[in-house]
Amino acid sequence: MRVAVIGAGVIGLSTALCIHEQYHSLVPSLELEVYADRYTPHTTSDGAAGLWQPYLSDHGNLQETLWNKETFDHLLGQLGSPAAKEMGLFLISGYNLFTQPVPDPSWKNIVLGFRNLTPKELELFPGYSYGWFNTALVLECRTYLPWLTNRRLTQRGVKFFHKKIESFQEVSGDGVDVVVNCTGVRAGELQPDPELQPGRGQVIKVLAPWVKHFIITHDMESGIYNSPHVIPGSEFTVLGGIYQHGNWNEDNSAQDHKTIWESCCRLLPALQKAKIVAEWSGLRPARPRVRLERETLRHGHLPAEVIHNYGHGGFGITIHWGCAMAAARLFGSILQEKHWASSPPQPRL
Amino acid sequence: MAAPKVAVVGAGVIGLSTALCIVETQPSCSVTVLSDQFSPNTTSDVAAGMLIPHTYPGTPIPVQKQWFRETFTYLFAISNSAEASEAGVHLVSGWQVFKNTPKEELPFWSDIVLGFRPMSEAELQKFPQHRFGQAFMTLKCDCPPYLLWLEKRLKATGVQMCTRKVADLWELHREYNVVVNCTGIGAHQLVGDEKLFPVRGQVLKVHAPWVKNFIREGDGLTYIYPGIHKVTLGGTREKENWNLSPDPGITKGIFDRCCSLEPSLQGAQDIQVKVGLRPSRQCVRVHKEVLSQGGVKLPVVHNYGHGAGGFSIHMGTAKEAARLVEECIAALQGSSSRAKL
Repeated sequence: MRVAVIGAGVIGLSTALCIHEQYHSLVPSLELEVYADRYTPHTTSDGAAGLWQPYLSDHGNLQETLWNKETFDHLLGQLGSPAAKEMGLFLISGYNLFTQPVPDPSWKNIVLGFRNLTPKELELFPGYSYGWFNTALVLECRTYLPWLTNRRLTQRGVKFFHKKIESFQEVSGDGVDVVVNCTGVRAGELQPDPELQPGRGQVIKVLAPWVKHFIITHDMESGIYNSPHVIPGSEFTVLGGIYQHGNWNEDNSAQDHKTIWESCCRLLPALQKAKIVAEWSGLRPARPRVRLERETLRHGHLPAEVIHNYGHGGFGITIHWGCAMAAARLFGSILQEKHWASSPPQPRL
Repeated sequence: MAAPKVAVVGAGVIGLSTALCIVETQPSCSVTVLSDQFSPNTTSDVAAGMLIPHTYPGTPIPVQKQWFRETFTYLFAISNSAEASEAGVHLVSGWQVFKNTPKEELPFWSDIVLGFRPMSEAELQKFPQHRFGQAFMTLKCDCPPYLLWLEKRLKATGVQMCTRKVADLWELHREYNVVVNCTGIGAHQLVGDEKLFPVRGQVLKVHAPWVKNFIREGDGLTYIYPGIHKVTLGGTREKENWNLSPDPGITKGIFDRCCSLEPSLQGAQDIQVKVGLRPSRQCVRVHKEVLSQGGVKLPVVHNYGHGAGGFSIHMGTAKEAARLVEECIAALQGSSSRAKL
């Protein structure tokens, strides 16, 4: 049985892993193939700072909140293992800053030690009068994606193809039984989706190892990610604060550079002496909600089974494992329907 | 009297910060720092430089609290300025964990550090052997950067730094009007202080840049303190042990204890071992006296005996020592003007 995963960012690789982990023993003939035109370090995931933090409001989308929680709990469980360093996973604490009081977020009980900032702490951030402090996680995709590829997927016999897939038929017509669509921001090229838009971001990577906390500021007027943020990594610190809806330009903008640098240095004067090492722009695959569902496509006389898993916006890393597990459950339902498994898939809690 | 000449003996965190306070409060003084060791070879360079106070049994708590508060305020401002990286001063948050609930739940300094609170159940799950904990944010002074930054500020105001081993304070009475004794463990021999004793500490400095939070065991024996480039793993407290050579058995013990608190440290690289002798005393000696020999007087201000708490209170004791220097100079000027009459 052949399964093709299109896309090799955090969504594609983790979905491939979940499917293989859960079903290879039930489907001995399972062959998993990954197709992508970009692999690490050139995917959107690689440019992300990797901080686990959902948006402020889940817009009543409880499903996404649960996927976020599953991801956090899964990663937290990995922390004590020797794999953590090889995965690019570590704990980090930090601040969310606001200019006015806001309701507590849906994730306040998911992260560790969530609390409000004290007046003395707020003194550090003139212009901000309210905020939170909590401990969360960073998962650096520059390390995580190679780990998924080399330490998990390759060992399981998953095959990788460097190829741009132009249509679902290209793979389903070639004898692939299930296609898993993890194509992120360019999913519209395989099937038009007006709800999917690029949320362009730009970041500056600096050397500032004296900064040990993340700082995310929020400007309720300019919207999510359009306000400065500082996220320390294991080697570099990522400075950001750009979110441009509908902008497909992957080139760095001098104006955005200036905005990021000036606003981050104003936020954290200790950054002024930081050395800039890189700049990067990427397109968040923004959508009102994540598209995680099955679709049976009819091309000619053969139906093609597709599982869509895209549109994770700026919270792909935050939600990836919950979505990968959900996609694997959809795969299980396909197996059940088509009687393709040697025994019925066990119910999963 | 012409510009009073002050000699500060010792160039660790106490000597350098005291010299700086003297220069700032008494600009007319000419200050020279004399030491046989400068950074990176002082006791201060071995320390992690964490602002978590040590409690001195012989010093009143309000005094210790005031010293800590002054130091914290001063460093807090630096951490939030463009100087932070050069000075090596940065904020760091983390946890202090206890296997058994401590008698005293609130240390005297809990309202000076930031965000002090008990750890939640979820946070404690990361430490299965520990039943209680406290979370807070404090400051860290990385050495050598902090000492080098103090030296740079001193040189900018004209303070001279001289490498010189002072065997006896009286050596200095012809060249200097006031001597400030910041010799740390060296005071044991220099002024024969029998109440001063070393508490040997061995530490590892490792490369583990993914460790962003500090973890400290309540008894203070095991700790993980992330600095700018290296994480300090500790430690030991060996009373009356003067041995400055690293002990490989202790190195393994420290590494194992720290890995059990933070398993990811197994992947730490580039492990360096250091040893320092904490200049320990029942109470910190911040005190002035006038030495007298054959009709000659030498005012001396002592500022030593900070043991495990040097960084935490250094600015507080430096300011107090500078006040005592001012008193010594005023007394000298008073008696010299009387002499002129």
